[in-house]
This record gives sequence, structure tokens and C-alpha cells, in this order.
Amino acid sequence: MRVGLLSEGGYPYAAGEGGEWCDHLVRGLGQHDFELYALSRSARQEDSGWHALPGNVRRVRAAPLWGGPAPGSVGSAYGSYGREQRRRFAGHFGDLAAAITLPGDQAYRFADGLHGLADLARDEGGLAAALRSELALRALETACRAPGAHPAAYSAKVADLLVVSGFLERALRPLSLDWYGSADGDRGLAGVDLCHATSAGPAALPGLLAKRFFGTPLLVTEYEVHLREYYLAGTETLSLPVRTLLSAFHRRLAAQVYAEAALITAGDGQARRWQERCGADRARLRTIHPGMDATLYEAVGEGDLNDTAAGPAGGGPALVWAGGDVEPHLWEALAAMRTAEPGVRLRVLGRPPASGSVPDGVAYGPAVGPEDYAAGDVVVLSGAADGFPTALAEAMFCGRATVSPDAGAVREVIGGTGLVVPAQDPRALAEACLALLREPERRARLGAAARARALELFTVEQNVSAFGALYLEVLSRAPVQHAAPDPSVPFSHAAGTQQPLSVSPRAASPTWAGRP
Amino acid sequence: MTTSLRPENAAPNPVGIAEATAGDAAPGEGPAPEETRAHPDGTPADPVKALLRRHHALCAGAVDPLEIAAGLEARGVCDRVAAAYRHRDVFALAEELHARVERGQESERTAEPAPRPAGDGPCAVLRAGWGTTGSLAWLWLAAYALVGDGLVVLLLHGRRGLPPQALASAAVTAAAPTALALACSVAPAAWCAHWFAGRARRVLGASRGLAEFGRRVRPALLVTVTLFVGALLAFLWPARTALPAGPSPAAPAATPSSPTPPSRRSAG
Repeated sequence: MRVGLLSEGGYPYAAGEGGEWCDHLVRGLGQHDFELYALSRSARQEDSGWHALPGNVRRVRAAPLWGGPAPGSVGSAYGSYGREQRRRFAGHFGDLAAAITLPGDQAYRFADGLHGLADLARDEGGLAAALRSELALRALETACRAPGAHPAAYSAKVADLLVVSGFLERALRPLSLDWYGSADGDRGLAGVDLCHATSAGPAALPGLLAKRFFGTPLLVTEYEVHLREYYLAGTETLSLPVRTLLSAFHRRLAAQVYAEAALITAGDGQARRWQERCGADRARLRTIHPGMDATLYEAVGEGDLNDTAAGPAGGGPALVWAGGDVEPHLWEALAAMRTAEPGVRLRVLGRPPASGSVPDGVAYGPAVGPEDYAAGDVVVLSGAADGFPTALAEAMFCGRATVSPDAGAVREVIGGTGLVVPAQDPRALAEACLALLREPERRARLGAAARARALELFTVEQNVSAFGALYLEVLSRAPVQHAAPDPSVPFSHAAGTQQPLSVSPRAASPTWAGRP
Repeated sequence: MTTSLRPENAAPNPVGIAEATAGDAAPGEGPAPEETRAHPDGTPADPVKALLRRHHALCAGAVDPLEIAAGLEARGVCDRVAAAYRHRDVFALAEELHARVERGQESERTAEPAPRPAGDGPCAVLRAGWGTTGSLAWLWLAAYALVGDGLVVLLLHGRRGLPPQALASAAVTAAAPTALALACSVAPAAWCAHWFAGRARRVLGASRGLAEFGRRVRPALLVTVTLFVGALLAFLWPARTALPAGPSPAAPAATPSSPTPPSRRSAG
């Protein structure tokens, strides 16, 4: 099978989020070919270079989503647009703009506009310049002044319109790329059996277009929900109308991607709730937990199980604070613990504060690996864990008993194998820690259970095999139907593809079935 | 789900007028009376109000309930906390917060960063042009205006007839006033562009529509062009009168080569 992995600011670039799981995925599914289609977010990211790519990555294509438009885009330039093309552009862009500015359910309008613009870009080219033209500004203004438009959009000034149209040009740049087959015989996304997008933002746009042009099924995986990431990134420097319009664009785009995707996967329950909220169909949602390399933690996890009773070397019982900066309630909890157990030590994984002295019995150290967890009897997780709590999973792999605040996806990660306390509650935290410190056997039992759970759920192997199964599931539902076999690929059609009795007018077998 | 729970609230209409009047009284002097009035089970009558006050900046700055939900989740409010506020999940809670927050100050706050700092646009390009490359380009232009025409004629028609020194000197004397005036008019050109850019930026910040922007910028453009043309003419006239022009601009170059052009052109 040939998979097109679509990313934005991610995988092949060394500086970017989500690089690790993509790397594990591509290496783990060595039986499939991958083509990487990457959109970069900044010049700094492009300069950072790429991950080392394994042999089953057949091709990498990259395009920038920043800076000015590329000079040599496919097709003719906007300047050569005739009256008919201008009318088409104004109509489709007007649809898109109206979908952004009007409240209510505008999904059909957004889809119409997006598809129309994609067709126009494919037929005529020059879309980037058209999106920066006065025609686009006028269409945007008309949509903002339309009756019923969002009040904030109604108050948009010319400067706001300019900012929004510049942003739209960048976000819609995937529409005018030459990834969808070009004149020189390069088939691009027409040659892949499945598109796998790593977010529901602009990264999924090529997947939407491949689905429209070639019927390629789209799989969307979000370990960080794109929309939430956009909101958390902070857009305070922009004016209110701009933020309103951009937020509406991101919402509609996410809804469109979720509606078109064959399957959507989330990393945890919180992400899944966001996706559902944004319009993803529950029947097509799957949760695939992120995977971590279990071999790193094997020595600590297994070694500790043998001599639990001995405990870590030196002094009294030790706590490890992991997963983020120290929160104020920890000091209260520590003081409460010391009244009962005077010898309690604390090790904080992270930088010491720039000002103020370090209290007695507290040590700071950078988080380097599993050895950090080996030094503690109980691991306490900070409440700053947004999304998937990686530190908690690491502690579970190390076989440690944990005390975590009730936030994010902590409950579904920990299951029943650790204690969960209300967030920001020093007394509950102190009580839970003391209960674990006083009972070494319970600690060991919980730690062993946590490690077993982590090995079951959070390994790279389960992650990769789950994606492999999903690929087959998606493909079995939507076989790719190429009108003509690719002559450049030997055995691109298997001997058994053509059935003796023509049940269906088109070949119904995936191309990968016959490939070496 | 949310609406079914609403009758429990003391305020029957969360977006309503009662809320607004209470909010007017509240800011300075602590909790509003209705908030302190507790339910029989001990919880405050309107717990969302305290939450609203705690996260007021977040709620007032948000353009969308989802933005509030993202901010709340980042601050540790999860679905179980939302249940304490009688909501099914964070999204429902965020929707109520979005509906109830006062937006009076918020529009003023966000309207303020509209005028952007000067630093981009044509004037910056021109000002940057005063560096090495700009000076080089200026010198090149002035040199071309002085001797460029003569050199082109020389290349086209060969050096037959007159010696090159004579040709060059004739060209210099012919083009010198124009070149001098053009060189001097670079400074007014930069100033005009700067003025126009500043003017256009001010208009851009203030105008609400494209038509209005065009209407207000067009006179400025006209004034700019007129100013520059005036400056150019003002430089040209004294330059022409002060510098002794040659007998005729084209005469010295044209006379020696007059027999050659047809043959040259046909050859070329």
C-alpha cells in the first residue's frame, strides 16, 4: 500500500511537533510505502533539517505555508484570468467568505466554496494571486457587510480585511500546489492509496482535494487537536474582527475535514470530545493512544519489581515531582507531609526557580530519562499536563506508584493503577502521598499494575499495529479506483483484478494487492 | 441537558437584564447580593458568576465559546469541575460564560491596536535605499543620464566620423541639465512617497470600507504626483538656464552618423 502522509509543521522537519510518532509509524510499517507531503510553518523550521528517513519513504514533497506566494505556481497567472474565470473566482470565494462571516450551519457553503476554488486552481492556476487581489477583498467586504453577518465581522475595517485575506491566501495555499498530478507525468497524490493527515487544519487540505479529485480515502489523526492548539496559541495581537473571522475559518475547516474523513483518530478522550464537538461523527472516531519506546524503561521497571522492599538508596522516603513546574500547593502539601513523616525528601524534575532559596530536603534536576523515576518511591504529577500526560506514562512504564491531579486525560491513562486527587488541593495530595509512602506493598502492587497497563496500552508496537489495522480497514471500505493503471509501476494491476464476470464497471481491488 | 438544569439557578435567564444590573453594582464592592444567597444544599445560587469573575479576561477576550473552553481546560477546569457548575461538560459551561460576559470594555480594548507602527511600506524601502546599494544605484542613474545616451549612440553607430572624446563631451553637455535635475529630485521623490505612505496608512486605519478608502486616498495620490512633478520642473528650469546647453541635444551625435543608420539597421 502507498500512503501519503500529510503534515503541517511536523514530521520530516526536525523542529516540529508530532515528529516522533510519525517516525515510529513510518519505521514500524515497513511493508507499506510512504510519500511525505509536508507543509512548513517558518523559515527556521526549514533550516532545521529533516529526520533521518527510512527506506520505505519513497518521496518527500514540501511547500511553505509562510512568506510570499511561490513565484512559479501551476497553470496560468491571475493576470490572464478572463471574465469567466473572475466570475467563477468571485462566486466561490464569496461562498467561502459568507460561510466564515455568517453564523449558523454554513458547512455546505464552505464546502462549495472550497471545492470551487480547488477546481479553479486546478483548471486555471493563479489562485494565490487571485486571493491577494482586490476582487477577493471586495468579496470579503461584501460578505462582512451582508445582513445577518456576525457583529464583529460587520465592524471589520479595510486593514482587517487585508490581514484576513493574507491569512486565507496562506491557509489555502495547498489548493494551488502541484501535488495533484502535473503535466510532466508526476502523479502526485493520484498515486497514493490512502491519505493520512496529521491534523485537521491546512495539513488535511491536500487530503480533501485528493478525495475530491481521485476518490482517495482520508484518515485524520490528531494527537493535538488543531483547533484547540490554534486557540491556545494566543492571537491577542490581532483585532477582534480578524480573530472572529480566523476562528470561524478554522472551525469550518475542521468541521469539513471531519465530515470528509473516512476515519478520525484521537490520542485521548479529551481530544475525542473536542473532535465530536467540532462535528466529527462518533461512529468514525477511534482512540489510539500515543506510543512510547518501552525498552528505555525496561531496566528501571523490571529491576524495581524484584527488590521493591529495599527501596531506593539513601535517607527517608522520596517523592518525585514530574511533568511541569512546581505549583504553589505542593509546598503546602509537603509541609503537611513533614508533620507526619519528617524525613520526606522531594526531587523536582525541572529547572530551579531563578529567585528564592531551595527548601531543605528538596533537590532540583533536569529530566534526563527513566533514572529520574528510579530515585523516587512515589511520583507526583503536576497539573500542567495538557493533552496526553507523557510524564505519567513514563512513570507507569517505570513501575512507580503515582499520585496525579484530576485534569486532562489523567483518569483514562492511569485507569485504576494510581491515585487521583482533586487538582490544586494540598490536603488531598498530602494524604494520598502519605498513604502510599506508609504502605510499601500497596505501592509495589500499584506500580506493577501501572507498568502492566502501560505495556498493554502505551507502547510503540500497539500504536503502530493499530494504525496498520486502521489502514486496512479504511482501504477495505473505500478501495482506490484508478481509471487506468499506472504504466510506470510494474504489476500495478494484479492478474485477478479483472473479474471474468463484470460485477461492477470498475476494478474493485486496491492497487497494493499486486505490488511487490 | 443544560437547559433542563437551568430552573435550579436563581437567575432564570443567564443572559438577562437581572444579570446586567447585578454586574453594574458588583465590580467595586465584592460579591453581589444574589450570589451570597445560598441554596438550601449549601452551594451558592449562581456559582458560574464567581467563575466568570475569576476568568474575566479570558471570557471577555474570546470570540468563540470554544476559545473559552480551550482556555478553561488549560487552567485545569475539566468536565468534572463543570459538573459542579451544573453543566454537562466544559463546552456547555463555556457557552454560558460566553453568553454572560460583558463585552463593553472589550471592544475598546481590541480597537486600540488598529493603528500599526510605521516601519513597513514604500517609505521604509526608500529610506533603506540611502545605504550603500541605494547610493550606488543613484550614482548609476545619474551617470547614465549624463553619458548613457551618448554611449548607446556610440555603440550603435560605431565611432566613425567623430572621436569618442568629442562624442562624450557633446552628450554630457546635452544631458547635463536633465541629469542634474533628476539627481536633485530624488529627495523630493522620497519625501513624497513617505508622505503618501503615511497618509494612506492613516486612512487605512480609519476607513471602514474599500470604497471609502479609495475615495479618501485618491486626492492624496493626485497631490503627491502634482507635488513631485512641480518639484521636478522647479529643478529642471534653473538647471537648464544655469548650465550652458549644447547647440542642440541630438545634433552632435546625429550629424556624423546620419549616413550610416539605414545600412546599420538593415545589417542589424
